[in-house]
Amino acid sequence: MISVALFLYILSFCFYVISQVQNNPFYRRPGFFLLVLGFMCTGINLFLDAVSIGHIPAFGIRNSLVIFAFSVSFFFVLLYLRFKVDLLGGAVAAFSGLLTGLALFFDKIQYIGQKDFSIFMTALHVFFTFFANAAFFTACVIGLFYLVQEKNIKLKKHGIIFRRLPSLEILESSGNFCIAWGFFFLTVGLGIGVVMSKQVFGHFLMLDAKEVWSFLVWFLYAALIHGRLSSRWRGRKAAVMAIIGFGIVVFSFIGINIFMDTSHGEYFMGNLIIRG
Amino acid sequence: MSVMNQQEIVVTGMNHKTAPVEIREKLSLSQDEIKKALGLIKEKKAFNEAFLFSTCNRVEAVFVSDCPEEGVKKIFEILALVKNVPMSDFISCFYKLTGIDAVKHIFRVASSLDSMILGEPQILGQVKTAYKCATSAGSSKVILNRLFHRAFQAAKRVRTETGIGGHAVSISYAAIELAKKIFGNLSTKKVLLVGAGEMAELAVEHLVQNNVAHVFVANRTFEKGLDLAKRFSGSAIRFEEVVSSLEWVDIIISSTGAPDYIINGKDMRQVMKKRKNRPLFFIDIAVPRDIDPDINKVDNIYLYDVDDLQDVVEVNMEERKKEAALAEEIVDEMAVKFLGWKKSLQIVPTIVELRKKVQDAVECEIFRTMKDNNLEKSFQSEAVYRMVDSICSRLLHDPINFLKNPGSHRDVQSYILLVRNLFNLDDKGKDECVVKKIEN
Repeated sequence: MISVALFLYILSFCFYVISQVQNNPFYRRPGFFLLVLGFMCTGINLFLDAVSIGHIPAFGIRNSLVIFAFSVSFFFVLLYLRFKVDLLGGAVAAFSGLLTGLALFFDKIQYIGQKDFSIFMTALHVFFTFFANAAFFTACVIGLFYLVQEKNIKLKKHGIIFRRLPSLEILESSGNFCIAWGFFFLTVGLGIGVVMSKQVFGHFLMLDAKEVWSFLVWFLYAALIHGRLSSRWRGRKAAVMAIIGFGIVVFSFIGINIFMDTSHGEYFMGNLIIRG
Repeated sequence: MSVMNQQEIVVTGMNHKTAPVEIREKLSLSQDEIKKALGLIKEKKAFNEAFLFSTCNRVEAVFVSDCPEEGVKKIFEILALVKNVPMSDFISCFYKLTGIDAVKHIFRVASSLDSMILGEPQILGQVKTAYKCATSAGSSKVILNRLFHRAFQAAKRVRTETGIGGHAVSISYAAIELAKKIFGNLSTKKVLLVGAGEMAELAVEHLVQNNVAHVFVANRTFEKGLDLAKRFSGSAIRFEEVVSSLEWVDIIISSTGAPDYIINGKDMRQVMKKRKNRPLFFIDIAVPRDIDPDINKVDNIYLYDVDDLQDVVEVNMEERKKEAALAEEIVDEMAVKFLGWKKSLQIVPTIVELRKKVQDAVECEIFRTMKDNNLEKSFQSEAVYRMVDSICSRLLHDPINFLKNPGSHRDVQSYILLVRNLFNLDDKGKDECVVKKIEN
């Protein structure tokens, strides 16, 4: 099923590229539908994995990549339903395609050894934080688009990119929308993580590097939302903050595991799961 | 030999490229005058089919005739009569196009490729109205009906398959396009018009058409402001209130005769704080400028002056020209297809006569056989007529196909001639048997 999703994402990306190269919006429609189909296939793949292992499939690199692809496409669909704009279609198809393609290189988890409450909480924690990261990624790309479009309008450059990108208001509203949902998912994900930490380790906070950086991300987005609500950070400033915010998300998500000691990686990859 | 005479599609007319405005305004036809002219054409039986079209930039006649020169003269006479203008005043401004050039011209006019402002959308509606007028006057028949339906299709394809209408080519439209790129939906936005002026008022009119929430007008003479506000169903504010109003308006169109800036950059930081950094869009149409250009440096403020808008228009015009090249390909393709159809019309009389001849021959032989066997009454039965039809269809299937599909490199005329000679279709003498059958 994941190969089918990959094929659909690649096909969707091709249609978006043709639409851009030929300057013909006609090809965006099939691109959009193929992307939605790819999203559905990714969802079905997660469901089938859940049935086969008898648990939420949120462990191991393969599942992490698939969840990330699923959540990025999910936000694309959500934005379309909310704003009726086929925003970032090509970028989402390419990114989701890349993630599902990478997932194919990793083994599938066949069996989860331990099925207690803490594992269930861990799975939920992973799911929610991935959705938060996907939302922040989308907000970051929208922020980049905002900066480009704003520069085009300020400098009076009305080339092809100016025409293709939507209005500043739509870009700003959709960025806000993603950050609000991302913050919600992050809050729930961190909350679950804290409860789980108490269950497994006996403390609400272990204060390892990953936790510290995760809370830093939470505070940063809380400040960003406050800045937007109080109208101090609007437009360009908010777009820059969304990009910086995602930079910190990437570091706290990947960089920490590489440069610092953290219990997270071990916990997920440890003896709780058995690979096929 | 009665091979159908070659009916030529002819366009004669003048437009903004060939005639000065003095001539164009003299010959411009109202709807009633078009009806009158078409009536005269019908009365004089000048042409089988005719169509008249008049806008501020062109007066054109399209007709179908086997003698284009004569036809053009008649059109001149009718125009001179209806408009009461001597023919010598306008003849030199008229062009005459025939065949594929005429068809392409009509397709280009409907697709707005021949308009003064390339790609403007009104022309198609004007052509449609003129066509309606021609059909209700009964002067548009088989050929012109098909021609104009194809012209409308060509225009639709040009609009959907190319970006010819996609870029604003007037200053007021360019301003609206920019406002949409900043605000997206204009229905919640408030507009302030400072001063007055044709271009600024036109921009406000376009904004009103785009359903802006409200229009405010500030004029040095408050009464004048009130009049303008009434025109846009808006409200007037005092000129002194302009800076404070920036707190709650979103689009400002300025066109005053003030020698200095009326809105300065230093005021804006305070204004933006008060309006919680919501975007502001300034359109400065005044010369000398009304708005300090430095305000464009403030976050969430966008300023365009008349030169900036003119640059946008020029870039857009270039884009339209590029798209026009694609549109010309569509026009060429559709014109060739249309002429293919028109050519196929020449074979229709031959097919009708051929079928009639064969049908008569078959009926005649059946009639004779039945009469010899005293079965005359059965001749009237449905089954016999159906049989006659079937025999004719089967017999003529191949010859008719041969006529219909001569191939692109072969000459239809010579094939029509061949078939007419082969079946002796031009002999007026009737078969004795057929005469007898008719008498009975």
